Amino acid sequence: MQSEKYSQYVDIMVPLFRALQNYRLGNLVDSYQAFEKSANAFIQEFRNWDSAWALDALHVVAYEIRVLAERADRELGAIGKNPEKLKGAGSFLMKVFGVLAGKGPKRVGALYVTCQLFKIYFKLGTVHLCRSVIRSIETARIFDFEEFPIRDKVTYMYYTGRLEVFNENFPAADHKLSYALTHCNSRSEANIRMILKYLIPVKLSIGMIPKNSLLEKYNLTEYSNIVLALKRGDLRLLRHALREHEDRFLRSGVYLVLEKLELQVYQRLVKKIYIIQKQKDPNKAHQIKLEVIVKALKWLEMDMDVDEVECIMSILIYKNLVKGYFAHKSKVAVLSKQDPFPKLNGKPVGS
Amino acid sequence: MINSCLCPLVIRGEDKGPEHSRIGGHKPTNRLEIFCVTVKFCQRFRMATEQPKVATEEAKIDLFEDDDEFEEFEIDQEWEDKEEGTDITQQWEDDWDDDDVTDDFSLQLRRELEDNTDKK
Repeated sequence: MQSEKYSQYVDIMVPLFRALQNYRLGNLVDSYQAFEKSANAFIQEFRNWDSAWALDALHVVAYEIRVLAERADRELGAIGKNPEKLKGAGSFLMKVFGVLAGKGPKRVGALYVTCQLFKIYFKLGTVHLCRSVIRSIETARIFDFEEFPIRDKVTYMYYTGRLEVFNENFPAADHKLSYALTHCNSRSEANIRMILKYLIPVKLSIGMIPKNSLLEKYNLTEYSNIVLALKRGDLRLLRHALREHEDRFLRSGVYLVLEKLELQVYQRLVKKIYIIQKQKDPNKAHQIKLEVIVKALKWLEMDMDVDEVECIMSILIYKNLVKGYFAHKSKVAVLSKQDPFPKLNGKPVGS
Repeated sequence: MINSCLCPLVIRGEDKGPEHSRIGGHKPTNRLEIFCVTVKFCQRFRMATEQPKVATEEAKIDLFEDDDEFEEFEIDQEWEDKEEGTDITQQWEDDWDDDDVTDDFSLQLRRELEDNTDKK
């Protein structure tokens, strides 16, 4: 009876110490395997305990298994083998999530485990796997989002916000990333920077620009010229800025989002032409000859003929960035006398 | 190292426990407390015996990476979630799209456009 009572702890502890020993010796794959065994034994017991007393330990296990798996995969990769331990850690954590997804007090740990899963899926590039756990958190009636600790909510909103950016769902991305930004510990500068890195392209897409002081404070000056290009209507500067930091924008996945700002920059340029014309001759200002735009674009080192400019103007009108119509024969854009350049007002282009 | 692990847990066992450990109303036995502490000990052991050489191997291996992995907050970390955030939320401008054409770019644009009409 006595040995039976404590045998479950033996199953947890022995492999745990083996994991530590292997770790110290630098055998990361062996270390991971032993740890996984210990973690599985731990979960077997954990699910039987009614209270949430061991949630702290669970947090440690969830974190350690991921970090160990990453190191083990590096070792596997170095010896030419298939790195599959991180994937395995992901499976384990899904199991843990299932254990926590109940009505009891343990459920407040579920968001932390979710965030560890996000880190794994983002690292492996299998972000589509996030969907099922997001659905459980957001739509299953077990969880009340407000119950979770703030640190987990911030991390969760950061990752789900990034997913919304990839899906070009800008209003949702704005909501989530802004939440993360507002509630993040103000001393966590690295995390704030990461949130801003994704939030800035989103804000630009809905017509809001960051102050330069913000970009400087968090070392995000790769966005400075983009912001300036948008303010000026300077298409040449936009193209230059995209090219200059192309690698960085591609790696973070925001390149396409920034590239699409081109339409808004066109709008700003045409608006400036309109204002300049209006100052010269207020009566004729609402008619813009296409060849005037062609000349402006040429100055910005963009060689376009009248037909191409006509195409751009049509798109601007279609997407409600310009109000007016097109007199095709005379090659003139006739702008609405009222609010010819509607502002985005927090909504993405064309919505 | 063991003392520093034991002490926080012993203190926690009394009044200042994290809420979720107390929700069920179950007070852990001494042996279970020790178990929890041991797990924490293992984490600190791992961190203390960090393998620096792993870093150099990283460069050679073409594994997936996420450049923007969020940093872990401390497990017990709570911060003042007041409107400290308002400072950062006031860093956005939505009134930049004004009618001002006195900046250098606009002046150059005007010159370009005037130049063309003259050439006619």
